[in-house]
Amino acid sequence: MENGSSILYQIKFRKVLFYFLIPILLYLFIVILPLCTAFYYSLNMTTNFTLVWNGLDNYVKILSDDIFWLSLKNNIFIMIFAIITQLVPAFIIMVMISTGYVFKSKFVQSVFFFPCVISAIVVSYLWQIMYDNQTGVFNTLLRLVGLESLQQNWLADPKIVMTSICIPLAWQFIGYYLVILLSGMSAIDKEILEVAEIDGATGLKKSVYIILPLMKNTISVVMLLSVTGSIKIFDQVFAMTGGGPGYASNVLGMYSYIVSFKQANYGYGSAISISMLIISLLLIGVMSLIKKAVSRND
Amino acid sequence: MTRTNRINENGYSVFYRIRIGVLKVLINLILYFLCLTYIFPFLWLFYNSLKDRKQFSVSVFALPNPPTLYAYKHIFSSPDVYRAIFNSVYNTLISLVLIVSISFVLAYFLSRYHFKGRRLIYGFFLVGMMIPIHALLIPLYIEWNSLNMTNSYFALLPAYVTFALPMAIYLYDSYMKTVPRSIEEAAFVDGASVNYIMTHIMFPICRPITSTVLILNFMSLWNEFSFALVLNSKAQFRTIPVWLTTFQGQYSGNMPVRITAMLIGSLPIIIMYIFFREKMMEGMAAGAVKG
Repeated sequence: MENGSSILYQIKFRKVLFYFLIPILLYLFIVILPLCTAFYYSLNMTTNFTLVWNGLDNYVKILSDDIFWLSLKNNIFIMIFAIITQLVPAFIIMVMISTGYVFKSKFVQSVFFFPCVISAIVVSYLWQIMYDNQTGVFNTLLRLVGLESLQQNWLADPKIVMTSICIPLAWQFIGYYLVILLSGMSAIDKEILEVAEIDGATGLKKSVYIILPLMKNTISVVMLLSVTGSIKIFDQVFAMTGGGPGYASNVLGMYSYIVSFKQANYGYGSAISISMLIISLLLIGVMSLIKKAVSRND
Repeated sequence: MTRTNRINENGYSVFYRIRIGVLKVLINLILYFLCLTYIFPFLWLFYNSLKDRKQFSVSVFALPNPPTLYAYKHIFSSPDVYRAIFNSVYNTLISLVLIVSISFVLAYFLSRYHFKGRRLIYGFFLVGMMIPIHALLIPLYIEWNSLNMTNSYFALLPAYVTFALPMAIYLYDSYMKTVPRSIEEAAFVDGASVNYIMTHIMFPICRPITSTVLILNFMSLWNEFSFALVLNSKAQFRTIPVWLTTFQGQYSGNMPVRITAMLIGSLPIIIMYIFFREKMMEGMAAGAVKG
């Protein structure tokens, strides 16, 4: 057996390479090559599809581009809003469900999770329809109870449009984070929680001092997901406002789309994409540094 | 005696029991109220799909009276819906077959075999996992456009397969690590080839994780929007999510039709959720933790 296994699992690289050829080629064509061409385009201004060497002009332009910074600001707004309205509620609901007091908790979980499996486009359109001025659910409801003054132009008022975009995001993704947190929770030793309860730790105390530190790893995963999710956001903004009114709800993904397709400026669009890539990688780097720092304290 | 003993003798004190009772009721009230805010919008969508334009504009809350299939007839009388369904099914199915076959083979070699360059290839795919794919949207379009490959039946497949590979490889790899090697070794001693072991022994063993990979990717592929929008924008190649955007301008006054289109587009996912919701939740959690 020993002998057999060693022969079985020894294989020449040359032979394996054949199996790996397709995925490696895919990676080259879908990930590496587009990045290289985008970088090349970003250094070459394209006017009427002709390439003119341009140096770092596009990147210099980004630095003084108000719309770019507004878009980045909106991405960061979504990120902060997501932590407050997605992760915190998901954690609270997770604690509630893990008390074991909830009637049919599996059903509750699957209800919360349901919007995550529906496409972002459908969820966004659903909310867009509910936000509608005349026929929307919210304004109609406000009219019915006589609070006409509270009616809003939910998606057309630059002051509140970002909040209006973030609420559906929270609604859609609480269930996602809830499920991840619950699976992290189930890995915690139940005895620790029981001992804590006997010692008088209940409710808030238990969740802050016992559950939170024990779930450090799951929470950092959830944080990372929500941060990267907020940077890459595109579908929801595209569907609900298209970045409008004006550029009030524009985000980076949307901006690179508008510049590339509506203004047909591939050079600048590529520069924005590359900047987006760098910003996401920086954020991932910072997050993993924080994660390392936190776990070193053990 | 000790505190624990006293609790055991008297049971919990009355005060404690009342507190727990109130807490129980409160938690259930909060969660079930929240559940309503999740169920209501979908119910509202469904019953509004059974209205015509006039009924919808009279009252958005009232139940359809009488229910009508006006919106459904309207949608199915146009060829667009069939094309969108075909394109979504085509892209999803072909991608799924490719994702499973490529990631299974790759994960099998990576988890079982020792060869030079193994770590290198593993690292290659791990790095690929880190790249945020949405930053590739415009770059990929530029590349595809210069190769004249946008708006074709081929445009989406390579991207869909590539983006799904890291997660699928990760899931297969971690599953295969739990499978004992003795079966494969026995087969090898009996003279089975590597390919035979892979396809006839390992693949059936991996069936549970294959179904997770299939379900997760079905979900993300069926819902995928941004790449479909950018790479295949012509009417002939539109997938369902892109098809839904065409209702925004054209039928903005005709809400029932828009709503019905949204429901039709989500139907496969909804049916799948009814049967596989446990698996979907498990798979999403397992896939997320890799991050």
